[in-house]
Amino acid sequence: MADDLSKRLAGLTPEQRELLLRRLKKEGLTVPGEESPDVPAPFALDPGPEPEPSDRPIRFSLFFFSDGGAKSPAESYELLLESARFADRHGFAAVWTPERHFQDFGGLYPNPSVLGAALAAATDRIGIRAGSVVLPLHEPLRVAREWAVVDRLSNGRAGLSFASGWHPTDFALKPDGYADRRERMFRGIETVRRLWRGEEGRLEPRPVQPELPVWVTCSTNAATWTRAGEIGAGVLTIIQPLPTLAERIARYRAARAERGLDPEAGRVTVMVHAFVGEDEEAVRARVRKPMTSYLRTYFDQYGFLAGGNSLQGVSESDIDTLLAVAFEGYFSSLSLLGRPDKGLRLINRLRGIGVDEAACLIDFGVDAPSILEELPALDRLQKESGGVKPPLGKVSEETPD
Amino acid sequence: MKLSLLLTNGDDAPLFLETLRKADAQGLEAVWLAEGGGLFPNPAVAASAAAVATRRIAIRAGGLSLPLHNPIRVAEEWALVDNLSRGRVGIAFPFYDSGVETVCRLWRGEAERVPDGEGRSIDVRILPQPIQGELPVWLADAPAAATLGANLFLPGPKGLEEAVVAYRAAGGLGSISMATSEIGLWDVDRLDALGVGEVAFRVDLADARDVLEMLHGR
Repeated sequence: MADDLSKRLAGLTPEQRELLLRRLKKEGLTVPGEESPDVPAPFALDPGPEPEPSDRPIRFSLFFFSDGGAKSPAESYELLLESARFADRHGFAAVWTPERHFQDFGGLYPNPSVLGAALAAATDRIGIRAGSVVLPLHEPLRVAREWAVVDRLSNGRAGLSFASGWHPTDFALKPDGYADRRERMFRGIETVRRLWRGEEGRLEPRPVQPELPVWVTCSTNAATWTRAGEIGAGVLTIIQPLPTLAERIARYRAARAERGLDPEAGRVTVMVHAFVGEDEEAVRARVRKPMTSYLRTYFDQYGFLAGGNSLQGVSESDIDTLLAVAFEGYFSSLSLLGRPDKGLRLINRLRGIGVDEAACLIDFGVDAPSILEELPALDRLQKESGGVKPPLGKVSEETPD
Repeated sequence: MKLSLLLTNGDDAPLFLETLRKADAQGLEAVWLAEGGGLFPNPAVAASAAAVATRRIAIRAGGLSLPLHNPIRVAEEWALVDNLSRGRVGIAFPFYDSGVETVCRLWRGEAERVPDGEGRSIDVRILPQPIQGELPVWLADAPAAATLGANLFLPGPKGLEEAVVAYRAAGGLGSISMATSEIGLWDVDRLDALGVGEVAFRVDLADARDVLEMLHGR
């Protein structure tokens, strides 16, 4: 495998190669021996310095974002409900679902409050969260009332991460919300919070939790992390090179401290791909295709492949090479894909830089029965990480699976 | 005669789920959720919980005022509930609005041309794809219901005969449902003769248990 990749990398022109390496580096992916283009393998992700040992508790949750792996929407929802029930029985912190419109990718999730209500009815103690509500698309009152319903149905388990949105197509739901979406989001968050507390008159229905748990969905944009800290919200983000992530978390906690908030009480949730299995090569074979296609979408979105003009004219096969390098990087050290000991190493690194919760992306394209079969392995990793809270008395004993 | 509940108000979530399960077990035709107070600011949310708590009963929006909702959102959200319930949803609209037709077209998988965030005209289609090919729709406005090929939903016994006559005269071929708050005062033979196929008892969630008991065995 690595040999094959070496050959393909060696086949790039020096310009393409330099460009590729620069872009990979920006993503935190390095190719050791890059000074010597003939020996690019093995590929590894730059993990940054070894973290201080940390006894910081870390929780696990499940995060749904795609419709990968199932034959029909109804079957995908079955997978979602089954996974949520498993997570509910095994002390996971939450199940997150997104908001997406009009696209095949993730077309199961038009409104997380609607799906959240079903999840609430199907579970007893797990958190029911949106990751994320694209707030500029909605009236804050509507969001507050719908989630108050979910909060009642779940007896106080609702939580919300808010995003500003980025795709103009989504704004077909509210065209005039696009131009100032970022400010609209932050304004809307305060309105939703005030409504929730009953400060704008009595909210109907009345929520169970006096205060709505709020996250802000952040990419690498430093200003958003700071703002999330200042307003006392948590942060929801996708895994990124750990040195960058560490810097953003430090910035976020400092912003909290600046506003007189306990810096450590701010909640940082990091999405990470998960498919744990003892047989490294079997897992690699299973996840390569869906992960690669995920990476392609991800890089496309952030202009990694198409952005600028320098990669224009790069052939499909060179893009394949780039994706192959990126996959190896994610697989080896930036995901919970493969062996549990490897996963535990990442979890410890995340704890070391101040992450509170690993939100496991499990529906990135592996078939549904395999995902369900794999969940006990993820649960064992959770328990080895100390990332499980004892049941809250409501559920007296674990159901064996 | 098919019997149903039309739930209004009430924010007791455990009671809501218990009521749904009982109605499901008791063989009721449908539970209609009236948009408005309590757990029903957007009935799709409570309907979604109802879908996973029940097996066979139909779950419907009872009176969705379209000017208050974006038709795209209505279609998307109820398509989700249609999947969760394996094809048990329906919507009653209190009056005609062009949005009703938009919802139905989107439901069938047709594209709708709308402006996006940058003012460009784009075609959108809803996801997920629903289970039912056509969305079952009821309208309270008899001529409009007939014209659209929708079913007729009458909010009360008042003006019943006139509405039924108007509906059939305008070529309405769908089924006729009637809501009522008065559980004792209905005459099955008369309703049968008029072709009313379903009676939905309008009840506050807090009193739904009693109504279910009264309906038991009927």
